[in-house]
Amino acid sequence: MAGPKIRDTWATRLGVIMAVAGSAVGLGNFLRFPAKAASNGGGAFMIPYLVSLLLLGLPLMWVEWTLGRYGGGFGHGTAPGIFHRVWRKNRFIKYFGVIGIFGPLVIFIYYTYIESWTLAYSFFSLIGKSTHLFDQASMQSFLRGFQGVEKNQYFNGVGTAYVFFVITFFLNIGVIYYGIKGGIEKLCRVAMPLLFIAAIILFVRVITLGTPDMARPTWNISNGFGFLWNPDFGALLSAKVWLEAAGQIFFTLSVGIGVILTYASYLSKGDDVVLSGLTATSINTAAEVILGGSIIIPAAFIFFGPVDITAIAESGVFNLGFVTMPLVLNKLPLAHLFGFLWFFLLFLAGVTSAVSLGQPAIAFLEDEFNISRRKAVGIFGVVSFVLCQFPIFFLRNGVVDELDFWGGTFFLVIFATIEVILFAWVFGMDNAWGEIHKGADMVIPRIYKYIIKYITPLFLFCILGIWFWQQWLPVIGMKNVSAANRLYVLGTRLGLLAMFLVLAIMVKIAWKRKKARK
Amino acid sequence: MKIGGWILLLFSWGMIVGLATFCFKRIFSKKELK
Repeated sequence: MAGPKIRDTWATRLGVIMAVAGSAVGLGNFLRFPAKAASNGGGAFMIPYLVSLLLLGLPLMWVEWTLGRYGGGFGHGTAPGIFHRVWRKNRFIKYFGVIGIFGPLVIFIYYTYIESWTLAYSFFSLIGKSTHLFDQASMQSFLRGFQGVEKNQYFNGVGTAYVFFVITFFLNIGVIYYGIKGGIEKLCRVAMPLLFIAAIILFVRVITLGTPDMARPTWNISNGFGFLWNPDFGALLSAKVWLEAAGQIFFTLSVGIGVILTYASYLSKGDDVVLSGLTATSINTAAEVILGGSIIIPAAFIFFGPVDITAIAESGVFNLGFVTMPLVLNKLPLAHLFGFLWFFLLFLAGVTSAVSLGQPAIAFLEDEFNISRRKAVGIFGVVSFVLCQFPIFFLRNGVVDELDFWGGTFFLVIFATIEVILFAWVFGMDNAWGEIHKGADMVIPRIYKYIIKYITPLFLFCILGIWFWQQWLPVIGMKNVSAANRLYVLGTRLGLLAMFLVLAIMVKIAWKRKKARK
Repeated sequence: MKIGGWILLLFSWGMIVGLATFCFKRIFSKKELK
């Protein structure tokens, strides 16, 4: 039997920060945030958003960086091993860690397909396939045709989307194949600056739009920003607004997924996690609030006006990104170029997130089964390629929404709660505080010792409690699922359950083997 | 945009830019990975 392998490492500090920021900066920064802010109190949304960032996002970021680095020191890059290391007396805790592999894998399954849409639309913009469409109905029909939901004059089936999916899938797998240093780090060091350049160009284009239609003087950039930023402080009395803000912080920072644990496991014991975690957070927040908040909603306001913008903001992220924004850009000079920039920006945000979602499963196979990266990537590639077929061919049946709910929403909160409890209460806050500060380039304000121990877990329990109270029964009973889709949704749930069980059995086998080796 | 919107925009942007500047200044003045 081969001895334990030497684990891959990050080459540079900026590299790991860019990779974590790349994982965090995704489609949600440019599509989800502005829509949520606009429909939840406007500028007033920033109050619960910043409170959630300080009490939830930032502490969880530090917890994950620290747990990841700690686990990496023992050769574990994923949650089963890391959790077991933290709570050695508990033989069940490693099974809770399965969520840290299951969640990213589930998200990877549908995210890769959505990422491929952005690549396809970049191409369509360049060749002018969609730049001649000027109304919502045509653009929606174009999107539905592309997705294979309907056959129309634009597309004859899902074939084009499938070709772009295959290209995107192999691109993701290719990057992962080259490893942490040679693949992910290199990609993120190039993709992140490019993403910011593209976003800044679009930002400048939007803020210089002024008042394009003199017949409608109120449809201007100032009022566009006003739609997003004018505060409705009354909204702060609504629990929903606070939950939406907390949820947004979760999704945007990629905490509670298990990705940051894995990335941080490739650090050395003496590497800083405090300043690095804070820097990755600041990059993500800048991309979201400054750039994400300044492109789509203000631009859509200018071209669709104050009446339609409310419906647009609530029309969902796909509609915003793939229907509204291309329509806006088609009305500008150089529509091909700006359309390409917009979708390529989303593609860069997507690819840097997708590769991070694939890494935990690879790390699990490498670390716990002691197999080579090449083999691990091969296994992951085959399995995930098969699983990716479901969101492609059952998109219209609600499969993506279902995968997103369990993998990308529900289990995030559960996993984060387990992490913070383990860190602050099992590992012990004094130990944890010392562990965070090993090699740290700055000291965290002492108040965070209490925030991590009491406030963050309480915040998470509140989110979970309110969710169970308000939504558990409708979700389990599929109240919001159409009768035609119920069978597909049920099938997806059973498939997810089977996936979870397979991963749990793999954990059992890995630990049994290790025990036998000892 | 109303004055309240401007205040919230400038406060949020200022905080985020300030934080990012602080972080990057420190990052570039500190040690590399071990």
